[in-house]
Amino acid sequence: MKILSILKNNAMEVAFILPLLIFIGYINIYPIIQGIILSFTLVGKFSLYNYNALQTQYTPNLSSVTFNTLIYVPLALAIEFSLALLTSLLLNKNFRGRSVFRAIIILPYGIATVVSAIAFTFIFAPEGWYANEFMMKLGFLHASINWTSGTLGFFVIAIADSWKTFPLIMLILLGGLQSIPDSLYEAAAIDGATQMQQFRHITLPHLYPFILIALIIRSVSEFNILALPLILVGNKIQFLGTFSYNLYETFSLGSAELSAAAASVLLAIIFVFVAVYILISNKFSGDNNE
Amino acid sequence: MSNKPKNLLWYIALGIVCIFVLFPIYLILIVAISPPSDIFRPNPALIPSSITLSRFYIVLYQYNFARHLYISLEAAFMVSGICMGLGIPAAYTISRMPKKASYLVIIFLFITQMIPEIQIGVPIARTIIGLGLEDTALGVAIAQSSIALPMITYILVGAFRSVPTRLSESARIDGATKLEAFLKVDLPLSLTGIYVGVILAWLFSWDEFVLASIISPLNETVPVLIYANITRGIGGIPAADAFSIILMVPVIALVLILQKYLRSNIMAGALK
Repeated sequence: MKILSILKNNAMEVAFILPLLIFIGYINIYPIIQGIILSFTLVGKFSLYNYNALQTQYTPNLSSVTFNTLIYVPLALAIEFSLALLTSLLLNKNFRGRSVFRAIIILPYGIATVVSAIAFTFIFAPEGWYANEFMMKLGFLHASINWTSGTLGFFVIAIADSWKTFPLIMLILLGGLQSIPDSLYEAAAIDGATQMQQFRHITLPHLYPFILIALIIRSVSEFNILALPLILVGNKIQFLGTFSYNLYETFSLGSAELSAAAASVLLAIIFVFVAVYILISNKFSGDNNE
Repeated sequence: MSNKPKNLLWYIALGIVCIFVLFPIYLILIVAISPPSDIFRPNPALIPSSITLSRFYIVLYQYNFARHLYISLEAAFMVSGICMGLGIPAAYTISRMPKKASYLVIIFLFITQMIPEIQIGVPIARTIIGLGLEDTALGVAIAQSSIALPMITYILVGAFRSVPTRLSESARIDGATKLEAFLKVDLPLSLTGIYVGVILAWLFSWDEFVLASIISPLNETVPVLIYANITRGIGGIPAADAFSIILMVPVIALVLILQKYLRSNIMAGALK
């Protein structure tokens, strides 16, 4: 009865939020469950065949693309967060033309991933082209190298990725920086704190909540990375996303089930990551509430 | 920290960041208009020796570009519409909830955003075929909205939180219903955040590749067409480049508009 009266008093709120929940439930949650079921299906029966096949019949196999994904995500996050932090500190000053610089730096965020992938394909093309020529002119290289395979390929993907994604993080961090009162820095300066100490003891602690929210937005997209490596390195370096996509695109019998299996592994990794994230951020906000 | 920049190093660093940001965009422009002899060789030119527009002809005449552009535009506007229609009321409710409850709802929304597009892509395609919406802009828009909604809702929550509750409370004391208080007080005061949400939803759809390629394989949106063109199309990379420029132009315009509204505090608003 209590629930009923709450519903009655908050009819507008319920009517406001319900459509969103129904939509997400039907278009999001329901397909996930279907996808998981699909991944355990072989001709209509429960089976682990799909997972087994991905591990034993494919090169690269399931464990190596999983490994690639787990290596790539922290690398990309490290690069884009360093860039974003540096840029937000640069922009958090009063100077003429500040809004012009900010507009320039936001530009990549609006450029489609396929477009940015094409741009970086020119830069890192194996023969001739810009990265090789540039490094040779500076004397770091004597002959063209292949940027898009091996360990180097991970960095190239991460740099191309960061180019497009760091502006969003930069905006979030800049919002954080601007919320720090000047008086804190003035007080610290009076007490003789160096710039480095001010950064460590004032700036960073205030930025934590902003870093956390940017981290959750970005890391999940990083786990799901697909279009960029597909265009930039083709199938030379495969992640769980590209692996799953390629399986689906073969359009052969059972390819949807195999694709769903690879995607379910990705989903499981993301869920573990998010669970750990929530635990840590809860602990953090718990500490902060005193 | 809002002091003036002091040293040369600061200017150099900002300059390097700007070059890093602008160089790839510049490359796309010159590769699309340079003659092949300028770019497909060692030590490619940075300034084209002459200008050719042949790739744009390929794009316009060989690919029926207008049709694909229309599908992309249709889907993008629908995603904005769906996200606002569902997101604004929900975000308003979340923003007026007690802090703990709203935190839980936001976390729930983010969890649904965690799902790999490829994971729901296949089952979603089945649902959409079931609705008879495969190869339509509406089908693509429905699928894309489900991914964009959590992020957009989060931004809208921030926008509504920045409006003090006492404004709608005093409207209620003056006899307005909850709905009137929302429509006449809170909504108009949150328009900036709503514009940001509209543009971000639009941009998300304009850029989205996986769902569009699975749900609408025959009526490709522009990003899917660009991908198909690089992998097996006429005109190769320079033509893909010309596509890219056409894809880029409206976006640069939008981002410059967005820039006016996108005060950083909106991005972090739901945190405060």
